[in-house]
Amino acid sequence: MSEDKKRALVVFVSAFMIFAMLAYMAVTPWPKEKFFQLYVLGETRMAERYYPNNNTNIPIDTPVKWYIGTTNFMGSTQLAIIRAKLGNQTLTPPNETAATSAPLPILIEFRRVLLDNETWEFPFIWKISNTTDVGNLKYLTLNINDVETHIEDVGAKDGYNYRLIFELWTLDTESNDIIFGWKASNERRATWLQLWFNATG
Amino acid sequence: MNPTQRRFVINYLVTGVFLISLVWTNLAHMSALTGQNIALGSVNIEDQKFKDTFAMVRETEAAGVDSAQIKDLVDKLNLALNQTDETEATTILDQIKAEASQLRDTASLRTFYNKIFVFAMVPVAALIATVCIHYVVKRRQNKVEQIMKMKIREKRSDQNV
Repeated sequence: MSEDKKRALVVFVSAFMIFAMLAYMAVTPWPKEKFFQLYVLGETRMAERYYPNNNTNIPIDTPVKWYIGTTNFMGSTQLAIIRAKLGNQTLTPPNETAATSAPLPILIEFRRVLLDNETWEFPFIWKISNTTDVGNLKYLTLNINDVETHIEDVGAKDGYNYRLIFELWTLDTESNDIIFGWKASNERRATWLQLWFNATG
Repeated sequence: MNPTQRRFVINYLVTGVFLISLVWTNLAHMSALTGQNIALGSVNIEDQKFKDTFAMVRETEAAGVDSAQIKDLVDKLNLALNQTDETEATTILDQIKAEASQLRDTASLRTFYNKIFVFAMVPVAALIATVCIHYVVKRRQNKVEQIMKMKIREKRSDQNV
């Protein structure tokens, strides 16, 4: 075999391997970090002014406006469900390490199918419509986005240290179940938020 | 216009187009920011029909359907989610399922042919690269040979004449 042919063969084999690798990379999706983002903004749609007059003591019939948002970075279409729950200082909050949600009644649920990289933001307007005192515990009736809910299971001593908890749930297509958080590379992840307030006003 | 200026103008145009496309993409993704209807619909997300339809949309997306068509399906899914009339929601879900199934089949076939085409191009590209490299090497060799074949001759300057 002449020197030219040998060189041509070596070049062809090398080029073949390089182009085959490039072709494989072109048709194979790159692995990327999969996650959701969950946030709450104040009435100005910024991370400020979460409470009227910046006072966490919320009087009866005073509307509080927040914006809840979530962004899908899962690399595919996802069903996002945001569940709002009312807690107090002692009841168990969600645990993102164990991916367990708070064992609290759901006040309201928002759901939407999100495209990859899509942000969904909606107003969450709530007020305390009524309070009921049982001993030194105060129980609330909340009005959230014009839906009235009386919460019998969650009371707080003298109306102090309530918290509104927002949990992100998704539809897991592998198990076909609605799960708290999401699954990314066979790992369970979860995210939740809480905002504290007092019903002493 | 000299080459440096031309290069500067081309760079400027390419950067401009890139930035505009970035802004456009971000705006498209933020489309769900405002004015969303968050009224709770009658569709039960625990219902198998909804889960099946959602799974079908996911399969369609994985098959490589373009983003505009996926957006259309997702908009319809959200419409079904926000429907208060259960019969209407079921009808929409059935429509989505049928449409998604058709799109998935077409996209799967197209993705398959695309992959075949990409891998079929590998030997062709390798061959083109080999031919190009062969000619480049040959040309260099010819130049070297030309230099090697040069003979030393006495230079006759004007003063000597």
